[in-house]
Amino acid sequence: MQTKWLECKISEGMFTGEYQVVGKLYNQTAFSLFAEKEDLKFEAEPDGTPVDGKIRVVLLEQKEDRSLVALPQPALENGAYITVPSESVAE
Amino acid sequence: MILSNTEIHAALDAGRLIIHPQPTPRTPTIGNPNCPFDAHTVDLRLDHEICIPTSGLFTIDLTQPGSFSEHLAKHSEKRILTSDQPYRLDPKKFILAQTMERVELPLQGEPPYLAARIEGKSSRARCGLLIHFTAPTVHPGFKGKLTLEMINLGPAAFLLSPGMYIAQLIIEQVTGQIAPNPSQFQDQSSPTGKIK
Repeated sequence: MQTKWLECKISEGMFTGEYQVVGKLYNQTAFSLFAEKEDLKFEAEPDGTPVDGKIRVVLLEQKEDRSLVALPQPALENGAYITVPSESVAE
Repeated sequence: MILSNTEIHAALDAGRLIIHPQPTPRTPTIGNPNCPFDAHTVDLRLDHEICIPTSGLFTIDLTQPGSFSEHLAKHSEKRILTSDQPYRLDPKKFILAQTMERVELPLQGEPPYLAARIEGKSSRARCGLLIHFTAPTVHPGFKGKLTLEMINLGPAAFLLSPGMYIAQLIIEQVTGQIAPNPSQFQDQSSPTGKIK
């Protein structure tokens, strides 16, 4: 299992110290969760507008253009394991 | 297996359980009788910030695609509590809150690993206060403050002050190896399923 970083949009969370994370599944529907800063990478703090960022994931399986990854916390819609486009997963 | 207070202390010392700030004192004394450790639980405190869901003309439908977190964040209001300005939770009202302590159940090292369950405290329950009503489980590998789903089912308003003991944590040992296992998604075709 390898730790990777998955592209996402990051906004303020419901509590200070947590962030709202929204990303795209392989089928182009959205997944979302609340995550801690240590599991995220972004340049500017979100301030009312989502910023581009990445979330730490564990890569479980990769086939062609699809990757199965484990999120640090379960997504609200889909649980902890999601299939995403391989191009959105990076070192 | 549920850990006793001495086993909880040992888990804290070994780094198998991390609670920050670490609850003190570990044993009551004459000078400090308020010990957060009971026979097999550790009390946690209410944090300064709460989140109040706002009502509106919308329906939550998890079957529809979209970002559920955006909906939750958009339809809620943050409030900072102080000892001078506690929050009055009226009967039948629902809020989200968090524990002041950050809890971590590391998956590093050799098993057995730990899991936990957050529960209310009987003194608060007698007033009708639920501090969680559906999601008590803290999974192995979790790290963060624990979110409380609080509702007042009692007949009177309940004042919530930051730092008050609000919940208790029960620590359990998980037997067996834990591993994310892609094979469990065999033959599934949903976005969360195994890649075929």
